[in-house]
Amino acid sequence: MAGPGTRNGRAGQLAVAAAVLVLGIGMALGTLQLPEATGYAGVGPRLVPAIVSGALMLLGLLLLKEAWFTGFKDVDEGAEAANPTHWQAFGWISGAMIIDGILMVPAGFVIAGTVLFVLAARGFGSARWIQNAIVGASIAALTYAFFNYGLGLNLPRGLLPF
Amino acid sequence: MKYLHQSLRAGFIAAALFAAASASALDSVKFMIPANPGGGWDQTGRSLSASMQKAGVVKNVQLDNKGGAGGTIGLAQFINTAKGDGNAIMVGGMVMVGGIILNKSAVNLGMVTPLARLTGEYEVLVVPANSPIKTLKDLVDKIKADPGSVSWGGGSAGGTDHILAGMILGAVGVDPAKVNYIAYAGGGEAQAAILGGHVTVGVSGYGEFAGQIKAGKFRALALSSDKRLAGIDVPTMKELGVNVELANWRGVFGAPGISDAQKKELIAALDTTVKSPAWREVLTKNDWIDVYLAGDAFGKYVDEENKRIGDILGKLNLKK
Amino acid sequence: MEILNSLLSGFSLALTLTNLMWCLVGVTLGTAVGVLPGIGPAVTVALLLPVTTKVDPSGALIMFAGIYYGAMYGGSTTSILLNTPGESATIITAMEGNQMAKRGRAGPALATSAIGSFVAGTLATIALTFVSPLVVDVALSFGPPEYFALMVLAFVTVSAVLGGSALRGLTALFIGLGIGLVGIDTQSGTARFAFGVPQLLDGIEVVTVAVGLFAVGETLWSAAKDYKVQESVMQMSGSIWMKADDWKRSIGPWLRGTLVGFPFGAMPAGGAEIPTFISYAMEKKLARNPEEFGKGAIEGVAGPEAANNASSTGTMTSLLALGLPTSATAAILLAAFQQYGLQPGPLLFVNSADLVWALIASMYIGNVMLLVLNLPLIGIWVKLLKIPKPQLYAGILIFATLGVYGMRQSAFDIFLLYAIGLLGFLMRRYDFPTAPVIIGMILGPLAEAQLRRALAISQGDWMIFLHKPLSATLLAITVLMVVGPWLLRKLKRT
Repeated sequence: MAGPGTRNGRAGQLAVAAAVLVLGIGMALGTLQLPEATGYAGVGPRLVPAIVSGALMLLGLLLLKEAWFTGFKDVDEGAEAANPTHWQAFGWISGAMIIDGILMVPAGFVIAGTVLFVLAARGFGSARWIQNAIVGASIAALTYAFFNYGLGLNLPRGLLPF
Repeated sequence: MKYLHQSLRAGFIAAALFAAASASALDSVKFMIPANPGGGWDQTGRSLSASMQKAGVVKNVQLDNKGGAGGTIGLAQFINTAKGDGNAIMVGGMVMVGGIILNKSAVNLGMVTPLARLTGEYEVLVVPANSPIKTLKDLVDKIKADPGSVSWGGGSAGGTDHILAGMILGAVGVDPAKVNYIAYAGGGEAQAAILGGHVTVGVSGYGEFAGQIKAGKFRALALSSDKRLAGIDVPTMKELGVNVELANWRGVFGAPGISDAQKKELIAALDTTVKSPAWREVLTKNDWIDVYLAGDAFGKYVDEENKRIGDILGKLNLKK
Repeated sequence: MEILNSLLSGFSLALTLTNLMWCLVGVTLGTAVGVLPGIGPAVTVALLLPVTTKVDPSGALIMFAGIYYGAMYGGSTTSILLNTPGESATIITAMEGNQMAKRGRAGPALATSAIGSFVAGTLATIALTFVSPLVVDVALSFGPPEYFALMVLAFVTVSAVLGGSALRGLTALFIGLGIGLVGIDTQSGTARFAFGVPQLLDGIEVVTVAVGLFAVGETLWSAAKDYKVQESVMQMSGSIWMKADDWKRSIGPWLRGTLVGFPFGAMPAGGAEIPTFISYAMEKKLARNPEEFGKGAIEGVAGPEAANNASSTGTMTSLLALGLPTSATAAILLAAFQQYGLQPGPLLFVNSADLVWALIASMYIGNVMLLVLNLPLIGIWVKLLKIPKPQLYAGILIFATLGVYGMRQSAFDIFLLYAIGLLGFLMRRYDFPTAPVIIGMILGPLAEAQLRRALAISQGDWMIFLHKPLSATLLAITVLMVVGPWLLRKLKRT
């Protein structure tokens, strides 16, 4: 039985529903900025965005209603509360990806990939830094070699000399 | 004494020539290809870099693909990273001129150094073999009677094909904004729409339609070249009284802020390359037309194209 | 009989030692690029074109075609094992196949996709040999109104993946439609929802969204929510080969998937993704236990995998019979024909009959090679799953970033990938299905373009969809599929 829980326990659901509504409103505002240019078709670049934003606003309202009165169907907030999110692990993975994006061009694919691998593995609790760095560097270097020398499609070289 | 002087002078000239020759063999050139692998600019960049190596004007080349937004993403990166680099070359062309205007790009071709126009391709108008439209005149009559009834199938909105369609309407005294243009994403989709009779007329580069034309599935109405092309039995628009000429050209640009000497060196390398057998072979194999134009003349040409294309895009209500 | 004779002479050319070697090189390379995300067959052929100018044309084309259909075999591997689809046509495979892998059935999932690809590839090649002119005629009769009707019909398939709550399923669909709108509008050239970011002008890649929602979202989830579960992710249970029951459940989907996929491939605007949606929805409707779908039903892997393979062969039909490139890879293959001075187009069969028939014969041979190559590989692939969780997920992230970076060479896409991963995490937390996002993203732009093309050609007359018999029929079928079950229930009650 999906316990409806208290409304307090459903703050997240309300926020998600509100986000859908806000997305719909934002898209509607964006749609108004688009030119009318309908040409011979009678419908232009505004038609589909108008439909999509309208639908998202409606769905957002319905989700708000559901979250407020009964909670999302089949979402068990009690079970979620019993298994809290491990934000530290979440942070390691997030950091790994963002740093990968930052390093990709200046430091090169191999270095960025190695850092990504080490940090992500740390997110899953593996703190064997050196071992992970060696494994990550080998995977990244092998793919790099295949792309750059096998196919002539250049991944960023970055700081490395080859 | 005179003899000695002469031989000294000859030796000096030879040395100078030798020095010039070795100087013109650039060590390493970085190519920016502002498109994903596989397209026209990519083929141009890859063939040109290979030909430059074969012609001995460059020792090493490095290619960098950076596609997107009509080439403007690659252009922006080229401007930011290659500034003053005399060993950097970017591929570009008419599509980029349009892309810069359409995408309201913050960067433009005035910020880089025009080196040379290399190849061009002319556009062709076709109808399916069973179409009641037999000649360009039939088409023009139909356009004049009711421009909306003529649907044009071609590439992306605001691209070369769309521009040509707008120019033709303008040339026969109809408002270019009245063109009923149907944009297709790929050449295959547009060809299928023409073969199936779903659009009235097709417009694209000649090479793309050549197979269907030779097989008799398409009837070619007119070419956008200034004069007839060797080996192609299709009249030009000009000779049929529609004063339109358009070439989808491709060329190369140098980095921003390079010195005159660096520019001369790059152009000299290109001069040698375009005369080399390797490049001639590339041209024949790809059916590319040689429209080589280098240096300041090319710079002037780019300026003119910029104005001409901006003008027609404005008339098509695409320039905002 | 004439066809058989031509085919026989084709085999005699394709079976020479050199051509067999090119075929093997092609299918092996194809499998490799299929397995690696971020590099598809189109890019591979494009990059190989300049280095193969000295190779004999029939050998080179046999190799290129091998890369194309080989990639379809390989593409399912990362989808099933790592939930990281490298090609948009294997996204559905990732959905159901990865669920199978999670339940210890990675072996049968890989096997049914390899054998299904073989069955579909071979049957589709037979169809290509004997009925291609017919198929091509039908494909050409599809204009914008017909395509639009077909897209509307395809939207119905979304009901198969909506999950427990229609409200959240539809929200996911509309978010996908919204993502699909980002970028330059094809018909008017207007930029929509790009916020002045040049990287958004060309839109967002479907593969980026799929990898973000599936692979990155799952990695975040697994780290943050299943932190305590430390052993390797997927325990193998039972045999890695298909059991009798698996065979019984796979044969129908293979055949139906082929039937759906082949004509779609031949259609200029069909694409390889839509038949996989249709096959999936169809198998769910026909399955004995539809509730198993979404939890690793073998039919949901067998059908879509057959469909995407048959569609790649269908693409060859239009290419060979008409010179029409109906996919990015076909466009590159066309360029390859030109490089060898062969005039692609309707005359190819007349002017270069030997070569075309050798190519067709090589497709039969290549499919056998791929089966022989892929089945033993399954044993090696499933060992990947024994890798401990931290290293496995860290490796998945390297391939995920490689995939999205490799497509457009843009670091921006890595940040986008992470953002979509966050969305995937949230969707999982609040039990929103992710497949409708992908379906909306693929179908939305196609449907919109065809709608506006049809209306432009008819100059604003909406009746065009009913005047054309084919589109009217398709729309009628759609209405029946939506209203039919509801009507039946009403009738039964009264």
